Amino acid sequence: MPIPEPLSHTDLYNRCDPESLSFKSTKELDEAITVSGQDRAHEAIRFGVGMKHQGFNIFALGPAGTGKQTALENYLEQKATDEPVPLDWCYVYNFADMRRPMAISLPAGDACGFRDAMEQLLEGLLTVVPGAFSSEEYQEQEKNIKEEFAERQASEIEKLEKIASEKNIALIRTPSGFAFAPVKKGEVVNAEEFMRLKSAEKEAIEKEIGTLKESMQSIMKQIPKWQRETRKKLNELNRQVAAFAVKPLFSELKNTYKDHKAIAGYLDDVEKDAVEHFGQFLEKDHDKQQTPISPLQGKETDSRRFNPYRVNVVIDNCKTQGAPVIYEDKPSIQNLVGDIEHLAQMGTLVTDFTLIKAGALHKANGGYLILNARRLMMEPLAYEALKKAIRTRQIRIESLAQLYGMASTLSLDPEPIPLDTKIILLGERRLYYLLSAHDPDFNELFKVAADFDDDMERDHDAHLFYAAFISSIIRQEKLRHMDASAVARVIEYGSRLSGDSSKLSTHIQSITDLVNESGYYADENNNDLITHGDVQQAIDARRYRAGRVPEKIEDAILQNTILIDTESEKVGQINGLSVYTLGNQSFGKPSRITTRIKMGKGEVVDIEREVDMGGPLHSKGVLILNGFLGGRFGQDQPLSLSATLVFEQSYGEVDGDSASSAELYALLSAISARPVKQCFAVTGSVNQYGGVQAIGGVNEKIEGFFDLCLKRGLTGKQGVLIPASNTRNLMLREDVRDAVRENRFFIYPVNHVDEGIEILTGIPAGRKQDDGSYPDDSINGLAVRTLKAMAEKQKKQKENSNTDNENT
Amino acid sequence: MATPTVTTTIKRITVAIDCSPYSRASLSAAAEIAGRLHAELSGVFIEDINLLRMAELPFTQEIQAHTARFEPFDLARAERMLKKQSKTASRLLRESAERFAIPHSFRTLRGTVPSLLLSAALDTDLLAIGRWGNTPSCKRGLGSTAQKAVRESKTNVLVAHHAGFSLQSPLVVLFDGSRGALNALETALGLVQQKTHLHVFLLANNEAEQEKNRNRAEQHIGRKTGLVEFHNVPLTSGTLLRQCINMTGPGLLLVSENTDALDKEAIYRLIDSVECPVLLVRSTA
Repeated sequence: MPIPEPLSHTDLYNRCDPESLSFKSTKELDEAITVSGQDRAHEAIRFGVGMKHQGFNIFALGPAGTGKQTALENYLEQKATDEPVPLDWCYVYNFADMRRPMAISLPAGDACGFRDAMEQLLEGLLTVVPGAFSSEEYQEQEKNIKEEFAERQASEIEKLEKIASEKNIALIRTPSGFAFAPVKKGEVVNAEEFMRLKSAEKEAIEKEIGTLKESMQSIMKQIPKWQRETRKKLNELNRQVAAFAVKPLFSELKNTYKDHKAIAGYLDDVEKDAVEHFGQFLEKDHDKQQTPISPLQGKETDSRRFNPYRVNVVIDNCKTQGAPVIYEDKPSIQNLVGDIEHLAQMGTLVTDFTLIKAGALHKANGGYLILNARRLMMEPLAYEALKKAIRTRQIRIESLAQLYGMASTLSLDPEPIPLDTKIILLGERRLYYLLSAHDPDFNELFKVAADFDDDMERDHDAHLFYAAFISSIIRQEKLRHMDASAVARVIEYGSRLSGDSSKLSTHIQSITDLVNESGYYADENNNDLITHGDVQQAIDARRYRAGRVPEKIEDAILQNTILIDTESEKVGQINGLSVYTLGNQSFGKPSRITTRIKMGKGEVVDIEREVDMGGPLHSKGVLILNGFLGGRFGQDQPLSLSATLVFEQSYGEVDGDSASSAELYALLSAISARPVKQCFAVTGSVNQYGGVQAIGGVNEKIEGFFDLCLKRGLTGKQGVLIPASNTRNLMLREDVRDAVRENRFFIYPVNHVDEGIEILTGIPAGRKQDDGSYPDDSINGLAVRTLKAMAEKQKKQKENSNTDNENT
Repeated sequence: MATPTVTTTIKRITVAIDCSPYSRASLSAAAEIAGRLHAELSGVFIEDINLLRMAELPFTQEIQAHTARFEPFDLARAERMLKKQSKTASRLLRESAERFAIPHSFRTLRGTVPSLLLSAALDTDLLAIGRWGNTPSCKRGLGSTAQKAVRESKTNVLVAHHAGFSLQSPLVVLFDGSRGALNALETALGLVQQKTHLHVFLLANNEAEQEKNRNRAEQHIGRKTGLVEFHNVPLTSGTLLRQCINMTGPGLLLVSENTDALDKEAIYRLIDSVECPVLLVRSTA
């Protein structure tokens, strides 16, 4: 099998030619951003927004920073502009049940007018009612009614007094009532005189007094009835006076809202209440004279007394254009479905409908509500409340404190408001799949998934999108503009970020950060425009800032604390490559992989796995090696070896199968007893047939090994073996490309382990001949010879053992 | 024409306190007047002898006002209740007097209420009494004790009204140019405060007489107060006069018993029917 040629420096990087860009600087770009590369997601959004049926809410999934929110807001704002402005909503007092305030809708912009009209009505009532009740006519009538009662009472008692008087008996007031006593010449007969009277006279007096007492009692029993009658007459008079006084005020208002059924009904209730409770309008001055505990408390009490006549406008769309698009940054239950606030009054929490606050669902009603799914899940009960609102198609305000039973004060149960809002959740893919798998409601309520891709195809249009996007950031952040070469460098960075030279990352946040950082260096360098150099400086600085850990590891290797050989040749030893991710930075690092063989049962022992330091993917890779060895060398004879594989000096978990090809090379070297050139490092997974397969992080791995070699001095022999299928992912640093161009460093694209082993050992792998054997001087031939010798030795030992057993 | 001598000095005021709402009003009015005139306040609580006699009778039962039930009413109970009322009356007097920083005294007498009260007031300059007292049929006109005081007392009488009393409210004086009217005017001038409105009702049947009375009143008032208003009231009927007074809504009506324009009975009827406190000024000269 011919060994592949090392890659040319041109294969290592997909350069963006500034000349291919149709502008000299981003100053020339002032077009609105047209989002590119997310066609699938945009189609889903368009569909989800267009579907008016229940449950067609949208979950926009994708990694954070990919511009989901920006794309959605841009789209929705354009669409919402042409849609109708939703209704205004207000809460009013419910005279039938004060705990259930009534919700009233009005055409957009009319709620404030209604509120002001009610305020004016209240002012009118406070003027008109006291006027009516202070009129002479009213007071005369009131006095007459009261006097009628007094007259009646006095008249009855006088009559009785007169009857008593005719019988020489007086009615006398006692400290707590009345009593009768015989009198003589205007004075009560004393006890001695009474006792001197004849029995018959005494009996007659006592009898008379008894009769009078009965009569008096009868009169007194009637007094409450007369009082009730008087009160009834007074109430009727008051009602008539109040009704007459307030009627003109209400007539005007009712006429204004005659076509609005709910308001007309409410006004009827208000009028009835105003007439029934006219007294409250007379108490204004009285209340002001009361000394409140604090000036604020006094003002509050006075002001809140008339709240039943006020209107709480919770949604005012007078300045809204089109349908609302609301993004709620903190989707707590209160912020979503609204809240009922309380006031502390005399040590007690009190509330009424004027303390009802609208939530994001109210504000977005008739439009669109965007929420961050993760934040929603973190807020207690918020997700459940949202689902309930979507499911029942109404917004019901529930106090969190009430739900948890933390507040036992009298609270409100406001009438729910019909909900017609498209809900859009933004979140990571993992969250979407978790919800989809574990929440039975989720799939019913969020039927549209808008899947935002991590990257997009890199073509001319994508370049222009990047340029336009960069331009918008620059304008938004008021940075210096970028020249074409700088834009090209950002595009190349986007490609590197995506891990594919033919794609661009859609991670808008990373690009925005790079542009901002480049702007900083342009300022520092006093450049009129952000240049290629400024962008490169920003990238280098970012790498430097995050470079403490890789540098420490590199220092440890250079000081031979971590043993990595980059010069000699060793049997059963090879340099593998790993990628470490710390925070949002990744870097590559070489690791020494060694293998030892001995006689055994044809098994490869993964030491990492044995000590539970190997992840499942790594274990899988090692087991695949078993398959490869068995297939290649175990068809004609049993594999009589046992091999151990280990990542030397690894102190943490090893996972992934990207080292499986390196492990196989080390095994082949150990079995064939031919050394591997340590100037190479290897990455790539392998299948049971020896095919080398693509892996991730290829750029970081190559650069990790290159940096070590560079520090030790490039010998012109060093290089890295990568899977050929990873060639398209290469977006390597300039210094690596330069070294490759100068033939001081090599990158070999390998398709099969037979290619790799030849590069690594300088000995061909050896093709299987017609008789099933391999050439003696090939790696495979040498391996077969070793395995055969081991098998024979094992067989001999077995025979000797059997003979010993028979002799015994 | 020379201005006749007027005598209106009020130095001692007797106030009858029976703890009813009207007697509390009379105490309040008397205290304010005493404070204004630096007079001494003498409180009187009278234990009604008729009540005590009645309590001694073996068959007496009280009909309770708020329940209409019969309860035994004996002497011990009556004594206990009267003692309690007396203590309350004494306390009320002390509180009122202390508010106006006036000298005061209190005594409890036992006997027939109207006569004992009139005799208690003999050596004082003003008897203050509630419009109504504890008379059972007491919701029309003056109570029996107040009527007796108005008609028979030898001293000036203040009939207090339940609606409260304030010397800052307007004062109304009935003036017909007589000596008694001058006394009433002089008393009013002693009571008016800096911002009190004084309404002088000129009682006359013709313009000339009205003018004459006005000149006389103005001459008497002089510069003693600036807030004076004169009203011509024709002497056609007592009803008109009462309506005029009620419309003005005075804090106190001052009227002399000895006027030329109205006879005593007319004055008593007026006192009986107006809805404000009345100070009946008796000429002592």
